[in-house]
Amino acid sequence: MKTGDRATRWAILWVMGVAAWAAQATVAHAAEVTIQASVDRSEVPLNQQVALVLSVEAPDSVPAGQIDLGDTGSLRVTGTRTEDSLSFSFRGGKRQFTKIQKFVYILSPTKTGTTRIGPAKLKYQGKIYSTKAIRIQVVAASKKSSRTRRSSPFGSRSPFPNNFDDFFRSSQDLLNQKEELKEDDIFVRATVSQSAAVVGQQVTVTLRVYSRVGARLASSRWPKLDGFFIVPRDTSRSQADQKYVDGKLYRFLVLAQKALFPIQSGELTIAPIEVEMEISSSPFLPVVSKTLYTKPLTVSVRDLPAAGRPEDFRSGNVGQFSLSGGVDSTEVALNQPVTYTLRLQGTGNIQGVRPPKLPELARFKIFDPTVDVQVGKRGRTVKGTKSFEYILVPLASGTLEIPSLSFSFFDPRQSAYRTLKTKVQQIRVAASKENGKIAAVGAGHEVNILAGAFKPIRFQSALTTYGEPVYRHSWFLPLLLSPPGLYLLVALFAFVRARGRTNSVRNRMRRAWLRRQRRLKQAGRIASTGKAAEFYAELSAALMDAVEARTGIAPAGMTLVEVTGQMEQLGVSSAVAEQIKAEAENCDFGRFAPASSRGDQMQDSLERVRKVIKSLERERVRPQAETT
Amino acid sequence: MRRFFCGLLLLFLCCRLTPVAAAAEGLPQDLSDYFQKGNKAYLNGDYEQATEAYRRVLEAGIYNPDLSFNLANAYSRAGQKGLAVLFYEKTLQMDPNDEAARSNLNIVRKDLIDRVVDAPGGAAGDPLWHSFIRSLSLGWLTWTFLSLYMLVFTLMIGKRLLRNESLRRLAFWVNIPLLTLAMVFGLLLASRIYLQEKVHHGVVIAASLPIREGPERTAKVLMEVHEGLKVRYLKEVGDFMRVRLSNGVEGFIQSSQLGRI
Repeated sequence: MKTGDRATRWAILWVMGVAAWAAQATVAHAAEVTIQASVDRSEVPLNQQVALVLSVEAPDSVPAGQIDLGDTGSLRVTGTRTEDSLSFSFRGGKRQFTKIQKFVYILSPTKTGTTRIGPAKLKYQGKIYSTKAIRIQVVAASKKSSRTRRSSPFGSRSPFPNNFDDFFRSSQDLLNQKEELKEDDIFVRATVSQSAAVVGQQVTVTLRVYSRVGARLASSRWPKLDGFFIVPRDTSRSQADQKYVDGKLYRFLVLAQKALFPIQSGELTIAPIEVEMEISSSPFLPVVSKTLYTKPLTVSVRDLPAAGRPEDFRSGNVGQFSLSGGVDSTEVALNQPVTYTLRLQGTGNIQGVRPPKLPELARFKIFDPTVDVQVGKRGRTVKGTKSFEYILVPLASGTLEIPSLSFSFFDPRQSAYRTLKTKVQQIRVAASKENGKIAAVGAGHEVNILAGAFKPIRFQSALTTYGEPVYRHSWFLPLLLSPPGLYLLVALFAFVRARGRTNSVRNRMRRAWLRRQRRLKQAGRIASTGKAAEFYAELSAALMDAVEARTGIAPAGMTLVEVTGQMEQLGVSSAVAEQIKAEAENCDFGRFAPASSRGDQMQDSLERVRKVIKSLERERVRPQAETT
Repeated sequence: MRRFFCGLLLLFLCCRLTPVAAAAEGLPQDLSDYFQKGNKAYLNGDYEQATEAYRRVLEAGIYNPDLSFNLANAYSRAGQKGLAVLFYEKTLQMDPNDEAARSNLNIVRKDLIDRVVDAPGGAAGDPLWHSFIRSLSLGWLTWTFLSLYMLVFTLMIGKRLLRNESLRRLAFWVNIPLLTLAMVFGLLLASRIYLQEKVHHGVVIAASLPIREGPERTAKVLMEVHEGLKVRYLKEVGDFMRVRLSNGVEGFIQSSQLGRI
């Protein structure tokens, strides 16, 4: 049993191994060549197309001729293309490269109803591989115009991606690959939008290529377009379309388009346009070049009518326009700039159109405008905007005006001149800007700007030099100190003077001394005249003044005895006191008995009194206490 | 008494007229010719020749607001904004009421590169009273003060000497407001002299100049300033001047690149 089990086990393993090898070999062999068919849609409108893709996987390239598309029913092949790719994989532990080819057929329906494609067949190395048949439902044409953009049936990988995004091919080309290219398989045409125009009116020239074969634009050469102002149009987004010409179906494409604005009148001719195309009647045949020419075109250009031409009309202003003008702010402060924008918008030769100019305005300083021209690149008609930005600086306050501007142009549609006008712009200019707000404008009050101007030089000057500051001069400090010094002196003088006027003992003594001096002199003068009474009166007074000046005793009202007694009390010696007493009595005698006195006696008395006064002054005396 | 007052008045007038007389001394003809030559060159648009002619007069020691103003105008027209600002400032220092110089200075300042803004925390520029005091003419302040001062003391002395009691009383009451005014003007004059002697300003005359952290050429650059910027002098250290901007920012600038007002 054990031996049988072991044998059974080995048998099972062997069978399984053989089966696995066989399966792998079968799969590997089957994967060598495959063909599959698919469509991008199962239902297609009559005016649209369906793309049939045959994917062939094979170790080597498969010629297109080995594929039999089979019956396509009511669908007609209108184009083909191929795509190649390489696939890499491991199979059975080995690297394997497989070439994948896609044969794309563009099928156009010819009638509505259900139709069948295929099955397609591939003959490869003596074997025939086939696809499954595909049913397609063709419905009535879609209401959507063929002008609407369609996705290319070839996807983004067109064999001629430069200017064409479609590749033209007829089923006949595909079926008769070796047939030669016919003259009418491809041609170019140039058309003008109108054969008659006025000077300045747009005429559009469109260059189209019609083809029944695969082709792409190599180059084009336009003739000299004398007498025209040319504005090229962008046709890079133009789409290929189909059209029957002389009973044959062509694909056509706009190659170029130019807007021409005649600048002179007369019969203007557009010479033939030369177009060089690269043509391929089959993806499997080499590309050939072919030069094509358009027929010459003639445009009849008339002058603009003179009748009704406005005075401000300027040549070149032809089209349909609108005009606007405005300021960015209607309230500004003096000397603050305002932007005035004049905008012209419409169809016509925007670059050549000449809008009105802002005139010189006395109350504004106007800077040269900034011009901005925006012209649309696409579309048959030239449209755009021309803007002029003026910077205006108000030179006066008040309500200032920017006048209305007039613009006249010729409208070819109405065959008439038209005149547009901007609105009058009013700007309120304040004399100043306060707290971030524009100050109110005074009614009717206008102020010219005078501030901000550069002040001129001075032509006359004494050129007197500004020397040292005053305070640095040497005399400044003495000058500063002199008034208080003077004041102090005056004050001191006044003080002294006031003090001298008081009735103190000392003042009395001083005044008495002065009197004594004066009286002695006076007595001397009187003695020479011989007037004894006067002489002795003066001498007696001088003697008493001397006593007062030395001792402070006021002798007035006192007897001689009292005076001499007080003198002795104050320290005057008795002898001097007695001499004074004797001289005083002698004076009294002389006063009251003048006849007894002679001149020499008076002189003796004067000398004695002087000696007594000197003696008194030599005495050590304690002056009498202060009395007022 | 009358003689005393007359003497006092004569002394005052002599003092007052002395500088005027000195200023009116005759100018050498060639200097006057240079001034006119500068004016002519200015009118012809030859601003370099104009500045040269004005400079000749200036270097001869003529310190005059008209000359300084014309020189500033010529520098301004020649595009030398730093020197233009400097001489407008000098003109205003001589005559703070010179409106033409102030106007032109403002116009030139609008074209300057530097705008001093935002005082950093704690920093402060010149106090406001500096500006006020500087706007007063030194000469006017001095003579006004001296006049009041003399008048006050004259009245005080007169009061001392007058014997008429009514006149003495009148002198006293008139003197009170005069004394107050004299004290105010004295204070203003003292402040003005303080600013004149102690607070100095300068103007950057180089096209651009670094402000450094220290008085060394290798010191870190704090910022770059440009011609026409007014700075306050703080202290001179070697070739450098410690300066303060009007927003209080301080740093060191090469002294040779500054013009003192």
